[in-house]
Amino acid sequence: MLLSVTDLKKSYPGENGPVAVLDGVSLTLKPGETVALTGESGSGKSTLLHIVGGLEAADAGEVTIDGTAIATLDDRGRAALRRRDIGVVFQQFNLIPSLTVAANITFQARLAGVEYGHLRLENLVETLGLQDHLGKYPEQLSGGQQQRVAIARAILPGPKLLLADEPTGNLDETTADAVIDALLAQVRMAETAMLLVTHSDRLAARADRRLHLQHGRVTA
Amino acid sequence: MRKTAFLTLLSHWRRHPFQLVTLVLGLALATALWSGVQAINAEARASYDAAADAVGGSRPVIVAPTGDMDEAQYVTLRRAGWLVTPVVEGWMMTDQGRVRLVGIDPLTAPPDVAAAGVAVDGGLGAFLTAPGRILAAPATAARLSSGDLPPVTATEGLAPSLAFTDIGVAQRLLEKEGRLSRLIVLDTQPLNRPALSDIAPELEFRPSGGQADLARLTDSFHLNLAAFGLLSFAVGLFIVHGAIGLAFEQRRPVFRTLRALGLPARDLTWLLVVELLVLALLSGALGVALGYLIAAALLPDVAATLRGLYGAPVEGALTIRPAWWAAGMGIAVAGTAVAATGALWKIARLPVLAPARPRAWARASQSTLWLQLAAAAALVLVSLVSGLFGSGLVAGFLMLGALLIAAALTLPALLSGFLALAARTARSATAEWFWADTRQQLPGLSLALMALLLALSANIGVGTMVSSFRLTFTGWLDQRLASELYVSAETAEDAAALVAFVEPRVDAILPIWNVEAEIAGAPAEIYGVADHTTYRDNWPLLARLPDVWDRVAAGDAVLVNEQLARRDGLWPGTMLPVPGGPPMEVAGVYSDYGNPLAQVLIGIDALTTRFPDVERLNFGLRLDPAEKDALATALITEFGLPPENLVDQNALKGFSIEVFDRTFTVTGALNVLTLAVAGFAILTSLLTLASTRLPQLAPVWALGLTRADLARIELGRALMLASLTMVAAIPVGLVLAWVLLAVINVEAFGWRLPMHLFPRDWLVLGVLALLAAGLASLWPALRLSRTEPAVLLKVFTNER
Repeated sequence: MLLSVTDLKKSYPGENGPVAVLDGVSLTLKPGETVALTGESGSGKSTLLHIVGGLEAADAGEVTIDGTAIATLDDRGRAALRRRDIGVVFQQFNLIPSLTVAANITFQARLAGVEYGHLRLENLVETLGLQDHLGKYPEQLSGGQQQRVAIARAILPGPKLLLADEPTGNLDETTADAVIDALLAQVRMAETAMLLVTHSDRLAARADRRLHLQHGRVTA
Repeated sequence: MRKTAFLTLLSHWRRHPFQLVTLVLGLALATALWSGVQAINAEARASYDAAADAVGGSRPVIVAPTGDMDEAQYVTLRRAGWLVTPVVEGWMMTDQGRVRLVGIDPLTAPPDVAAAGVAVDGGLGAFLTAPGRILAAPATAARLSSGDLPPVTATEGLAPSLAFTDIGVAQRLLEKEGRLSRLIVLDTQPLNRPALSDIAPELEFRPSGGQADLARLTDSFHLNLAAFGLLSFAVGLFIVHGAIGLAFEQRRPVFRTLRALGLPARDLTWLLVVELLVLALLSGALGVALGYLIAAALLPDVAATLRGLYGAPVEGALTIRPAWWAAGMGIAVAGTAVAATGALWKIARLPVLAPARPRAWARASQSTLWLQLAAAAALVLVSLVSGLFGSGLVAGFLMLGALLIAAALTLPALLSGFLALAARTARSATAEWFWADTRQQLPGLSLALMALLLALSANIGVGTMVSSFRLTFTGWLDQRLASELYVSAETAEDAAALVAFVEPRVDAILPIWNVEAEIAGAPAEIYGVADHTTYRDNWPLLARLPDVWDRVAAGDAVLVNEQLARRDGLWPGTMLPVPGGPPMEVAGVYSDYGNPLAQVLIGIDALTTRFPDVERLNFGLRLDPAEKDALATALITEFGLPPENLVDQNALKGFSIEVFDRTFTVTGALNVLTLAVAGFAILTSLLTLASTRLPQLAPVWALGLTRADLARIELGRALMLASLTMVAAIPVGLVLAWVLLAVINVEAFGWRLPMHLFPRDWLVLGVLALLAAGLASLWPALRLSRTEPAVLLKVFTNER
């Protein structure tokens, strides 16, 4: 099992005491599998994604990625895990504004010290239709183009786990389809596991499995 | 509607209290340094005016060009119908410095001057009759507690370091019996009085204003202080400009909403003007109060400098003057206006549906780099034109100011170029991001870095000037103070006995006799110089004719000090009118640092011939240094000379160096304050930028750098930028030092100094700059390292 989440709990302070966001969530993901996580706003989808990605700590429960329990890692260890084994695509503010598109795409791979090869890079760029934008800065791109750059960056290092938080949330339908096509194609080719948080039923339908989160619990 | 809109605008400050503090403190600090310096200058100038007015400075006077006049000349004028009143004045030494003693005749003096006399306990009678009275301001009176003096009455309102007494008492105390310094010409005169040239051709009539010499002498000193105050103010304005710019940029969505809801652009602009005006007045009041504290702390040193260097009467106490408060508030408002004009202009032209662009200023600044470079080039041109074709101190400071601003404007482009080059050498992803991100941060930090550049350049420039001056001055003192011992006799008889006593005990006795006279229309000192190897070997000549010393000894040539030579173009070969005889040829020019007056050296025989009344009381003694102490003891015990009449060469040098160092205490203090303001500018820039940094840092963190890594990088970035600014500041500072030494000093003081380099000082300053930048960036870096992941994650989920 690549990803194993067991009885995960997380709460945030509220006006009338702690508010439970995750209340005993468990799930697993195999290599090459895509799981869509759906749910209402505030149901805890993004929080689950952040904890799995080592971006936030859980109050209780366990997350293991390829046999490594995240809770046993310190800040430095979690950072190393993120850059080496996890690719993250957020809804917005994905890219580093000071770097060109080319530098953004290669950033995580170089940060992790991964030899990605020029051919692979060229193929990826061409597949995502970014070959004409490599010298541009993020602010010069449209939302869809920015999201494709974020996907290329997440995929290039060949991560074991891809986490995508509403990756098409800001995009029109056509662009959203193109983005998700690229993402799924790359996942299948590289045997990467992907946890996809989305509101969209259409998008969720394209995943291998679908889990629904309600009041901090997996209901389906 | 306007009230609602105004309250909406103000709500920004409630949510961003630190930004408000930054703005208020920035403006307050800028105002404080400026108004502090202005307070010092105003206090000193008020003292000069009070001193001049108190002794009839606003009235015409009659003087003897060669020095004091005889009392009989006064009698002659009175008998001829001239309504004049006599004044005798001179310096009295006290344990705590000199006091200018002015003797007046209250019976003939104009009412404003005579009023001093009747203010005494016991009235005019006590003032006129033995033992007489001395009147002085309370602080001065405290210094006049010697037992030899008549009773001293402390009187409020008198000028500092000035004491009044009856003319007879003054003549006795100053040993000027039968002599007068000048005659004040009263306001009303009989029409049929004879011309002055008919009854006393040896005397000279001078229109009112002649007493402004002191103000003129010290103008350069005050201009230097004012320039420093202005520099500090400019550095402070960088903070204000940054804070206002950021506050306006962050409120763009609010402006947009207000405009969309129906608030006209003009109303919005006016509301912002009112808001800024309120903030400016608040900051100005705080700044003026802080300025008062700065001035109160620095004034004693400035007063000591002015007394030591120029003999200017300034007490160390500060008076609160309404005009100074008003000027302080005015400069705060003007500074805010300068700092906010650009931002207000943009708001006035803001389209209703202008999008919120939190990083717009960064992009705009990138595109304005070329504009800044063009402005810098224009300023360099102004500086060159001012240096080549301008004259006077104002042209010198224009040259200096234009150079400094040009350097500051060039800095962002220079740093941007360096960062672009550095980015090309980056191998790792982190390094590549570091250089690119730093380059992107540059527009937001450039104002603070420009302020730092100004502060560091000023430090290097002024430090180099002061250290060069000190090195030259110390060497010059060694040359000038060649005699091992300096002695002063009380009377002419004592002097003769003294000479007889020391003659067999020393190698040489060098008279140090001088008179005060007018040379080329300005006050000057004329010294007699003996024909001795002491002068031939040591005197620091800058230019000379062949056989200069032989010609001076022969009495047909003079030496002049550098300031006189530069002021009037009196270089070797020119002729100089010297009172008491025919003009003499200038045979040499010598350096004479620290002397505000023109000085002329003539042969000792020529001096006594031209000025037969010259006091012959002071001597320099040349002897084996090992025997110096024994001779000093003998002069005190065997000859009975008071110890205060003996000055050891080392003591004199020590005193001179002390006066020198104290002169630059204020400069040093202002240097440190300016650097502190620049450090504060960096802190405020980093803290205000911190809030806009999260969207740039969060992706890097999410991709695998820890918060601690990011904090270290942020700290390293600040240190690297401070280091680069320091490197850029060195050439700017050296150019500044050159302008100060070769242009400003010549214009202000009349002497040019050789420039020396002090790399160790730069190293110390560099460490200080790094410390300031490190401290300024430590807090934002610590905050970043402790930022909760939830805060960073918000970047990806909320629109910011």
